[in-house]
Amino acid sequence: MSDDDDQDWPGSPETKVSKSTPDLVPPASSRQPRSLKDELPLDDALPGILDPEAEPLPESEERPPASRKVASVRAPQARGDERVDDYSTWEIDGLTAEPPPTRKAGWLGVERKTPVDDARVLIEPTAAAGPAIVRRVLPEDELVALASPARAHRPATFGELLDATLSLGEDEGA
Amino acid sequence: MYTNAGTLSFDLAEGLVRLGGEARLVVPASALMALWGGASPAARRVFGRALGESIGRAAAKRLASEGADLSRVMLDASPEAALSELAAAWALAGLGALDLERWGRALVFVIAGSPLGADGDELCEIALEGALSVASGKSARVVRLERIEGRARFFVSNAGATARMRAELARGTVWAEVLAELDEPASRGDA
Repeated sequence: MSDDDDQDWPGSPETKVSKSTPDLVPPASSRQPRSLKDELPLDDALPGILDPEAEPLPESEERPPASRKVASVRAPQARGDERVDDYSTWEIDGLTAEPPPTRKAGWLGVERKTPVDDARVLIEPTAAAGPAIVRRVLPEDELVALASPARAHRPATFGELLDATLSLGEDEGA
Repeated sequence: MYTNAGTLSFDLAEGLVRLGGEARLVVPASALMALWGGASPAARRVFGRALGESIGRAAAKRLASEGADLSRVMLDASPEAALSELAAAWALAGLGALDLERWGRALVFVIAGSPLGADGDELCEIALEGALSVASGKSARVVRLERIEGRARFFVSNAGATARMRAELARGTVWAEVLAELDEPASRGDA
């Protein structure tokens, strides 16, 4: 009996079973072989395929992709970690990003810019873009208060209008 | 209020067109104007009057509720309602879009887009007289004031005022001035 004939079963770690002794077959629940993913490194077992069930090992580290097109840097680990490339020097779409301004080495905060006193926003219309139109709105307050009706009597029916126009000039020369 | 009596219907099986139970004809405008040009003044007046009376009846029927007095329904209606029904009936006759203006006390109808053009303005005058007479029960005379491209203005008044307007227009007087003179207080006897 060689070492290959012996196997550790996860259901009964204390039991050591030899394939040459069929009488001592372990229970079915404990005869399930260990998953290959637990036995082999993920990269070796499924090269190029991301296993959704695979959990990152505690000691796993994110490495920048080979293309360096996408970067994800955890600040605490990136700070002072020499094994992580400086992302500010990565080339993204052919452009090399400049490192952000820092107050001191390793500071990853947002730099507050000092306001400029004479700063102005100048919108200068061009002939191609057309004029910048300022829309007027009506004031919310009432502008006109009608104290008395403009006409003493406003005809309410079509018949009254017709009577008025039919009476035009009737009294001329009277 | 719109009723079936004022609906223009096409009975293709029978080959009939009706408006409010009255048989209609779909006649080319050019054919009508050819007939109009060859007719005598008396025949024109008879034809135009009959056309207008049909429009006035249709408007009154559309405006009237069931059992209402057709002779009063147009007079008692608001100016907007009366104009709406008159314009609808006018449009169903294919004579253009009818609008109404008030110049002081004067009523001025505006017809836009008539397919008869300037040659049909006389027909429009007579048709408006017929429509108003039937719809209101009052004798009204109409004279065309002006035509600017596709829009023509028609003054509605009595026989004396319209005759004066015609004379002033023939002399080249601006029609608005004539309307103002007719609407002066002296003309109303208020002075």
